[in-house]
Amino acid sequence: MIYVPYVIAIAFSLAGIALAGISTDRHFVVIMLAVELILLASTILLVTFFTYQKSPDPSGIVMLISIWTVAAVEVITVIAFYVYVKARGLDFDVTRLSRMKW
Amino acid sequence: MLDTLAAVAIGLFILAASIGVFTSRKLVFSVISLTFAFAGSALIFAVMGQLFLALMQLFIFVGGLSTYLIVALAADEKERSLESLPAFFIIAIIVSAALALIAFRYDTAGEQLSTANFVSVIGQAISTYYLLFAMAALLLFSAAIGSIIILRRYVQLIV
Repeated sequence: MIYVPYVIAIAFSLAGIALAGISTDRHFVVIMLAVELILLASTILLVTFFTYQKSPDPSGIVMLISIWTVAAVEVITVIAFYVYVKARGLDFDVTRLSRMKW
Repeated sequence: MLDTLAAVAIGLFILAASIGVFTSRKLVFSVISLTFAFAGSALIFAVMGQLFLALMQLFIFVGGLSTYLIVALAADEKERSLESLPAFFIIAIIVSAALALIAFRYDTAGEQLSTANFVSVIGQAISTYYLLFAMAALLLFSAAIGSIIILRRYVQLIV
């Protein structure tokens, strides 16, 4: 039996680190990796609440699968964007990305 | 007690790995740190007794997404500047401490909570919310197709 507040604190701290990374880092790929960390923190929270409750709710599974889908889509998008920026010789600094042109 | 200690140790490992994402100079090392964080989350699921979920996490995130990211970003030689690292640590400590304090308001010590089995509930979820699962699959499929279109157009310019 796990003392649940510890796991919740870890997930919250993970989200806090990711938020700090998003607010201070300017590299596009690193910011997207930080969003992945936030999704990971939400997954940990969801599984914790799902595991330690008296009657498990199936709608939690839908939320979990949705988070996994968004994380996978995000990774695919990051790679596509990385190749696009590399090919066009642009900078990954988000403060210099003023436009996106096909 | 042993489970709690293991969960806390793995949790600290996840936090260290997540800090590594922002303190690495090369992108590929950031992705490797993220992979360790994913693997740590799979371990924490296993400690909670959700072995099926831990395996899913390993297969999807460590085996699939992280490998994809590492292969795609391995050739990136450029080192990024870490000038904002002090600000990152200050904000991370303040925000994490504030959020962690909120977590301890959920004091469940002494409560006997039953452990739910993930596998028995997932079938019920799929049969009840099948449309949402189909939408998730459609979202993933469309992202993959869009990515292929972009990659076909631009990948030959950088190879």
